[in-house]
Amino acid sequence: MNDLTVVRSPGFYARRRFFDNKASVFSGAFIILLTAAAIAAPLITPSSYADQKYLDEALAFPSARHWFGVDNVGRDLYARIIYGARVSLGIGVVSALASIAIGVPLGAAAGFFGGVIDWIVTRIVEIFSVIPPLLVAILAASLFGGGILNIIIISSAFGWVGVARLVRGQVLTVKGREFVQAARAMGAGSKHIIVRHLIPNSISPIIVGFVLAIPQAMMLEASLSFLGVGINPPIPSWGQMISDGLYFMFFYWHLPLFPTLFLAVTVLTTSIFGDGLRDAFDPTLKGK
Amino acid sequence: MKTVLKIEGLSKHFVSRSGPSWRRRESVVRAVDGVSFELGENEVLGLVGESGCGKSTTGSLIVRLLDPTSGSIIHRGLDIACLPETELLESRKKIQLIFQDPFASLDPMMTLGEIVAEPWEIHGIYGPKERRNEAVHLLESVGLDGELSGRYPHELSGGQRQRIAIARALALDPEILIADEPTSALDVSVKAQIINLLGDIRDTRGLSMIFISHDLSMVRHISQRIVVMYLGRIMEYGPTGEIFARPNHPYTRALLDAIPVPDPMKRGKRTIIRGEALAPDASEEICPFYPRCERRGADCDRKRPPLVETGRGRFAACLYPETEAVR
Amino acid sequence: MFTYVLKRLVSLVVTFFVVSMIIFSLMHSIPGGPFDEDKMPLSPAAKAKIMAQYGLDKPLAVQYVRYMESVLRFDFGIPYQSPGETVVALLSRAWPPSFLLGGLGLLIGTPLGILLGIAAALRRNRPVDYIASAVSTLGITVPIYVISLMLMLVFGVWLKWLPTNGWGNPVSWILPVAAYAIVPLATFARYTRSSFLDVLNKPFVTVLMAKGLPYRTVIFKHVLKNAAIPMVTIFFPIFIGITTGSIFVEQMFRVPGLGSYFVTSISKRDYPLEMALILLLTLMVGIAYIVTDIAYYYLNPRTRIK
Repeated sequence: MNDLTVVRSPGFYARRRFFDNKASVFSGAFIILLTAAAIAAPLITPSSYADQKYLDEALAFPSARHWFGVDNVGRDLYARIIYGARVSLGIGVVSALASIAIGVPLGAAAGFFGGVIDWIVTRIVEIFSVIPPLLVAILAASLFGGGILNIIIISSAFGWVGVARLVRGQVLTVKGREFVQAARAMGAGSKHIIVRHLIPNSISPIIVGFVLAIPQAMMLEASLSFLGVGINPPIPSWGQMISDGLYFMFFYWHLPLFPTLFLAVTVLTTSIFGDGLRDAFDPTLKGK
Repeated sequence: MKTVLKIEGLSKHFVSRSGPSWRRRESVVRAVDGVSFELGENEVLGLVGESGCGKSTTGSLIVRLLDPTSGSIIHRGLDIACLPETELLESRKKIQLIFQDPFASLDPMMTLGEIVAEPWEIHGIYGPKERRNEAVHLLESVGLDGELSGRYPHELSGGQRQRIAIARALALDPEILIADEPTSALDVSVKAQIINLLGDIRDTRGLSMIFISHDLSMVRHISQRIVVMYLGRIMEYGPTGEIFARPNHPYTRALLDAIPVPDPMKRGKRTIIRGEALAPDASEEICPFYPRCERRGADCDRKRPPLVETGRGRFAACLYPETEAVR
Repeated sequence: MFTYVLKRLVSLVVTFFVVSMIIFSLMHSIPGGPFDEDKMPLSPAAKAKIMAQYGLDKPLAVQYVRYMESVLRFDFGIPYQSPGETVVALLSRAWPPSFLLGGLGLLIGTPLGILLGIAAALRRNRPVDYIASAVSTLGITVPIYVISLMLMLVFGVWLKWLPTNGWGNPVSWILPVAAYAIVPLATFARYTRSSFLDVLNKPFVTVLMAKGLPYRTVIFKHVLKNAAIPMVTIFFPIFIGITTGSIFVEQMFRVPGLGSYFVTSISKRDYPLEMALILLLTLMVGIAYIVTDIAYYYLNPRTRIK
């Protein structure tokens, strides 16, 4: 033990790998900034999202007074975009939490108990991987109506599948490891193995699955709103703002541009952040 | 010698499926096939054979990590081969397993103190505080610094990790230790330390041990008797010294001849194994070694050789054993 | 192999019927039909007559069986939004634009993506690699209408080089095809890169290089051949990406294809057209899935049947 090598915990290497990845650090910073802006929306915007305060300046281009301009019914676009971040991030996080809440127990049960439970869960996952989620989501939203709650239900109905697959794989791997067999040979029951071994060893893929489920849900919401079956006006949604702005695109290009940029950058940064986390946790790179 | 564990006709058959889903083939592999032996009190019994011979499977069957297909495992007058999980707890306390790979057998998310205290946690022995104190004593008893109990497995070397695994196996004060190739993942310089530690443990604690290994020189050093296995069956069984001096089974002879001799002047005639090994799913009524055997006779591919006594305390499963005196 | 394909086809048929049953009962159990008061103020008698004409007054199960009977005769009924023609006639008018634009996007994007992926793998951690990873991350994570909108803004609105809508003139196909092409380009660039790197690190490549085979031969003959096998499996997600993408692309560029009819059929609750489109999509997606699966088995010598 008394040699020169400095011993570090696995967390140290994970942190170092993450912070070495500049793109994901930058993405993380952007997400924190956007989240802060979304929370503090009333404090940093000149008007609320539905106030038609600037009717006389309708369709105005960006200026010092209206950073992103004014829309066709006299609403400050900057305010609508910041409030839109609330909707987008909120739906993303809540749907991801719901996906975790459904996917983790199902995936863990399938991986741990095997047999009939595994057969059923795997078949369901298989069916979901064949059908195009967006099409079914569009259909469901048009049949049952949009709105925040319905979108969260729809997107977690698809989001749990990826989480369940991830957790099942991880549980199967950990279950086969010798330390679990050792515990079994000592007489450990299922509860001990799940609580002491499987959960602690599956935490990092669950975190990654959670983060990567967020952009999926945000994209689904934006797509549904873009098609007019998502968030109901006047609640602002980036997808809906893009779709509304298309109409004015040729002369007032700022109307579709800013929501598009925000949607693109937000989805991109959350994905990069999630990928960065996954690479940081990846044990095959340990110590490198 | 008092017997602490008696194994009779122990078998484990695996059904293997191969091929794509639309043309699946099934075959039965007899990984362990009618194995019988006894373990004496305070004895080290070596279980040797090449990889795939079923020696590790036998170890897993005894601790019931696998359920036997047939046969019995008598421990303290109880057949633990067919006990339900719920009634196994007592025998699991008394029979402990040490795994081959100390990098895989320790949970990377637990501290060393938690790892060696895990058996107590499972069986509800001691309170949390006592466990921490006892864990330190346990670490010291296998030659480690008690200060290590707050560290994690990845901070240790292979030899230190295997000491942790041994400490964990000793936590419940077992009667029988099953060491499954405990040194094969370790550096040569560390192997001897672990072997000596196991020897010391046997002497001071008076326990019995099944030492599973393919390394004959290691087995010769530590065990009083050995069981030689090939393709799931026992080939030969008896006191170590006698088997090394005069093997009765042609397979044992070939195995012993394969041990490297460090002195070039002492190299004599060697039996070298030639020919293909028998497919693992071949017939039962056959000597599994016959395609490679130098002494095979006409009926070796038609008759299953029984394990017969070839000398005092010596057994071999061969129709034409290398014995002059007895038989 | 034969029984395997047969099994897959049977499961496709089963899926087809299950999907049709679910969608049918869902669509008909939701309140608000096409002839509701708010949309079409009709007298009760006239409404009943229309309902009877379309068979909407019968029990759900009867409606379903009747519907599936006519579907098997290739009769999908009459679309509510254009009662002058049949659904089949409308679809046969709508599919050429969709298949032309989507197919062109696939044909252009695939080779470009593969080339970009190879370039990135061979020039690891150099500018090409960074460009490839930026393009593929953008194309994979950002929804297709965001890309379409940026293309429209840059080339249509600011530079005024290309038309942003219309169908008659092939020049107006350029932007939608470019938007479609991003999907296979981004996906193939990412997977070719990782698949190529996997193969490049295999010892057999080192051996080929060491025995003095020309670099070009090693890369294009040996490495590409081995790297291509896992790449077959990503055809399926790309197919889905383009199919769902058509809903957005066709609406934005005003292409009169299947995707834009899907959107209008949903907003107008045009059951016959909606059902027909969904059944068609289920069938296409199912066939694409089977084709991908079989192609994988045939191309991979380890799973190929002797």
